[in-house]
Amino acid sequence: MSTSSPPSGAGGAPDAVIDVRGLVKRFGRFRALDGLDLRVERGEVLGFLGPNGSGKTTTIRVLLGQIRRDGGTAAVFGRDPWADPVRIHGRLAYVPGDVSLWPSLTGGECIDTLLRFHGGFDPAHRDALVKRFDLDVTKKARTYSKGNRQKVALVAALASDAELLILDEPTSGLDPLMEDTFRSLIRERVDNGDTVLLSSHILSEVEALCDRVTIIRRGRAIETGTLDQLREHTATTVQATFDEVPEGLDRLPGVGGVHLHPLSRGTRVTMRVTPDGLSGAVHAMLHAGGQTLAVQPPSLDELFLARYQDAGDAG
Amino acid sequence: MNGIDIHGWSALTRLLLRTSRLTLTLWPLLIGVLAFVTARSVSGLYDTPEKRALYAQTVTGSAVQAAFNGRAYDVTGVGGIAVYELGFYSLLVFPAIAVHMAVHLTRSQEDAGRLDILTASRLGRTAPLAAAFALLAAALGGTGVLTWAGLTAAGLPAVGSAWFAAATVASMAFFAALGVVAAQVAQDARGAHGLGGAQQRRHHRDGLGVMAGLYLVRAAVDGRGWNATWVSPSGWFPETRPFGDTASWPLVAYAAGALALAALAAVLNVRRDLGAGLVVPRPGPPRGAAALGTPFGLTWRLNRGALLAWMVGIAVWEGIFGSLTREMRAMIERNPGLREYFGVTGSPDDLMTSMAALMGALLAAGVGIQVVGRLAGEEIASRAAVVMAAPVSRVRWWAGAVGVALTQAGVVALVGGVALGVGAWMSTGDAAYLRRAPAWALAYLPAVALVTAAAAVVAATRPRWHAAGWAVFGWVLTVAMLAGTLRMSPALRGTSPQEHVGRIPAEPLDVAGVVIMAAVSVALLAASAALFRRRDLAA
Repeated sequence: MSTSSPPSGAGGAPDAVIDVRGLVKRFGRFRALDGLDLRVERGEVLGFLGPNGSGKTTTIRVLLGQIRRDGGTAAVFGRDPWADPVRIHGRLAYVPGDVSLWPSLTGGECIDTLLRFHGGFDPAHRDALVKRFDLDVTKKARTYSKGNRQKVALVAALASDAELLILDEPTSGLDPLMEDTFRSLIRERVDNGDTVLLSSHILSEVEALCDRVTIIRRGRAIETGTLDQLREHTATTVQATFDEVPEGLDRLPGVGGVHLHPLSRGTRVTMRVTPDGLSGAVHAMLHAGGQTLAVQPPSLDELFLARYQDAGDAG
Repeated sequence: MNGIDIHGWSALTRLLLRTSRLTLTLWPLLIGVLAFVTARSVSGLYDTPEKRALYAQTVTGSAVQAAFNGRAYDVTGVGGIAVYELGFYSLLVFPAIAVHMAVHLTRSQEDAGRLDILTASRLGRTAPLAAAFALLAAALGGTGVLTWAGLTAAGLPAVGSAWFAAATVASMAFFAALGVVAAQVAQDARGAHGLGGAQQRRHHRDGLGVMAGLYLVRAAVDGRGWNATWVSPSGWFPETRPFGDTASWPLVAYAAGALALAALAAVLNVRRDLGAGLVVPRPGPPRGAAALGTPFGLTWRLNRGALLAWMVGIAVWEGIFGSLTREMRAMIERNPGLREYFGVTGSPDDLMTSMAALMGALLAAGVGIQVVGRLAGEEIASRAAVVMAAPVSRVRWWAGAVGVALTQAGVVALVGGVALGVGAWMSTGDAAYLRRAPAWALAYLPAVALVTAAAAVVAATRPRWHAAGWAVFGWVLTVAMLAGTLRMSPALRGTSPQEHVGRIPAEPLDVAGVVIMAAVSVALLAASAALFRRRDLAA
């Protein structure tokens, strides 16, 4: 391995395609990245999530060698992206968040330009992708909408033989039909053993595609894990109806946000319960004579809203 | 008229003022300063009636002077000499500034997509045009006041200075209106997302092309001494005669022309917006050629249209000046004193051809600066970042793109040399020009490369500063046109590359100077690549 690769971390899997530790990037006095850790294993789709301005694109630009890091380590395929970009870029493809194309070239010319810069490509594969994305490649890029510009970048990335796809909000301008096409194409790539770093705000897309997610806020990773693992740390909503509301529900361990709503007969109680308090709370409610009982796992929206909001205030 | 609605123009004017304040203040200031320094040096240089008489005797007989600076009037007085020394600027450079400001204030705002978000609010369709006119009027008013102040501060009579200032404002207003019309006409299939400068460049090209065409028509007429200078608006300016028997008809003609063009722009503006969706874009090739997959090939393709326009432009320009060679020879033979005055040692023809060769080199340097500017634009628009996310190293991309800048500058220089040779050959019947003129163009190539390399260093340091490359161009132009008038010291002149070529063909080629410039160019290009490799990409 190259001398520029970071020391292999304790307990980390040996096959990290992207390995970032303690990454720092400053723009003037602003710390865009402030000790970020990020790891993408071979063959996985990692969802890269965070509010606007949290540092997702900055991280991707460091990984592509476009900007130089101020601290920490970053390795892609075990190499330093600043020192050794060309060898890394031969194995990856990139779709920027805000695709800018050459206005005077047609979409087809833009696709082929990008593919030729990347290296060899299979014209049949490219044509098939153009068809699946329903793109008119004879139009000048200046007439394209945001969605069509994204399609050009996606076709160029997916028609390449890259092992790693770095996608920065690639579907924000696509219609639901094309979004669906995008998901099946990504699944095909992953089935081939390719690796994907997917920055996205579309939670259904994240849930459908990603094995793991890393959530960043203010330039720092605040949570990494599978969606199930994240759910484990998020409160479940429990609802029950009673003729008479029992005393002391809010004193149960792990229970918070108790809310009473009077019905025509009896009262509905809604509360939020942490995972470790769940079994106790459910038992207590059955004992107290609950007539109905509903347990709702946290929705994705709740999952992320909670992370986007509270961690920043704490940090 | 139906459709003209300027609701909200004042708010838009304030916004434009805020975003364009540098353009709007710097140009008027520059013009005022130039008027001042020129007038001051002229009064120092030609401080006795004898010196002024000699000056008058020289320039009134010169086809070169007439072609470049227009007709000479009242050059027995300091004021008239100052006006004449500024002639090239009044007739070509200031109008070019006016066109640039007009395009900048209209289309560049629109093309950057900034207007879309504004016109969606309560804003009349013609409001952007009205705001641009308001700011142009303010900038030109400022130009007039500063020019007048510059001339009077240098000791010229207040009344004559006022006439000159008025003529400057009137002619710039005319050409600004022309620029606005060009901005409206060149509208084509601009989609809702036509980001970036390609469109804006087209408006610049159209506006500046018409302006340069009018200048050349006048140069051809004045160079031959025909009594028809009025055929081109470019020829009206000297007729004002600020420090002699003043005439107001040029001012009236400019003003009327400006108003007519402004009205035309307003009509086009209304029609254009209504019909914008009617233009069906032509389909293009569905596949990209193999050449697009290299930095050189891609950059070449992106600059192909501009190169063609430059080639046509320089061919016409150099051809016309070349065709005036015989006129110059005839004049020098009539008046041998001229030969001494200009310090011509060889053939009298060389006076015109050496000036034309220098101008050709300047235009070629402009091509190099323009391509480097587009290179910076590629980076700012983050298209360069996408290319370099492929296995294309920074240095390879940079070398390819800067290589295009150098190649296209060289091509334009050679086309200019050939056109000058053909023009001079047709004028004099001397076929040797067909070989000599391209050789002069070759001799200037290291100087052209040096200016291009300097622009590349700027863009490599910080792409958003790339316009500073044009400051280098402006400086070289000033040394070329005004070094004598402004009594620049040899050291100051020496900062301009052209000074190290030697006044070819009138004087022998400065071989050492040319070789050193070639070496410095190579060093600067290497430095630019190293700088570009080491810094963060802008976007």
